[in-house]
Amino acid sequence: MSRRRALRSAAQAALAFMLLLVGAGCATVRPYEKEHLADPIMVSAADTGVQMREMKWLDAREGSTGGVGGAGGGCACK
Amino acid sequence: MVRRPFLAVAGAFLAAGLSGAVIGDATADDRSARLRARELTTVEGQPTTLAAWDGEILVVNFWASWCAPCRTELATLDEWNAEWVTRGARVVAVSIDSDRARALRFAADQELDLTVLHDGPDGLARELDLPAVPTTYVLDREGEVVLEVQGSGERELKRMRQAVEQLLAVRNERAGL
Repeated sequence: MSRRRALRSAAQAALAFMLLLVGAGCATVRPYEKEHLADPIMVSAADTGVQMREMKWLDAREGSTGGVGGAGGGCACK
Repeated sequence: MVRRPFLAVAGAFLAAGLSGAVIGDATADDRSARLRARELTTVEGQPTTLAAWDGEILVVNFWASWCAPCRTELATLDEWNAEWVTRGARVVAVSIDSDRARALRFAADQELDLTVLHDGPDGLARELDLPAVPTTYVLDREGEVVLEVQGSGERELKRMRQAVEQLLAVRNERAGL
């Protein structure tokens, strides 16, 4: 096997390994498995209470709801 | 030696994806049998099965204390249960919380009168591969699933109530009431 071909095989193997590593991070979470995801601690904001109040007056002021993302509440039901 | 490692890994991914799609996929026919056969835990910690209510129309609601719509829905189901229980139908709320104590604490706080059982996330929920939380099954007097309701919206609750009322009407008709 020529040196060039060996290098190509090694590169392909490295790419496949990287794909495996990245792919391992993907998982389909079924609705009944979301207990930990629904935990309030999973909210990234430091103070969820403040965030909720800010969102409420923002929604009231702008006359729209949900423009900044999905509905909150930590349900993760579906 | 594998001559084409990229293709081999891609093939492995495809196989894994396909097998994942098959796992936990309960067919419509065996849902009734699985629901009736599974051993559940009562509030007192005693084992039981849904077969304990043979002959009654059952509304089996899968819920969790971490699911906000479930908590709202349970209040409605509790009211309906009080209305139905003397007529031959009953709501059985099966908790899929991993911690039984948390589910029972919620039920006690809300003063729920309906039958609360515990199963956890790896029991019937996984066996039936619940498509949503909450999911509710309406079982007729023979223990056959006649309706699956996903979610707890107004329309879903209406469908559930209609199904139970229809089953009760049939029951009364047969009994000559």
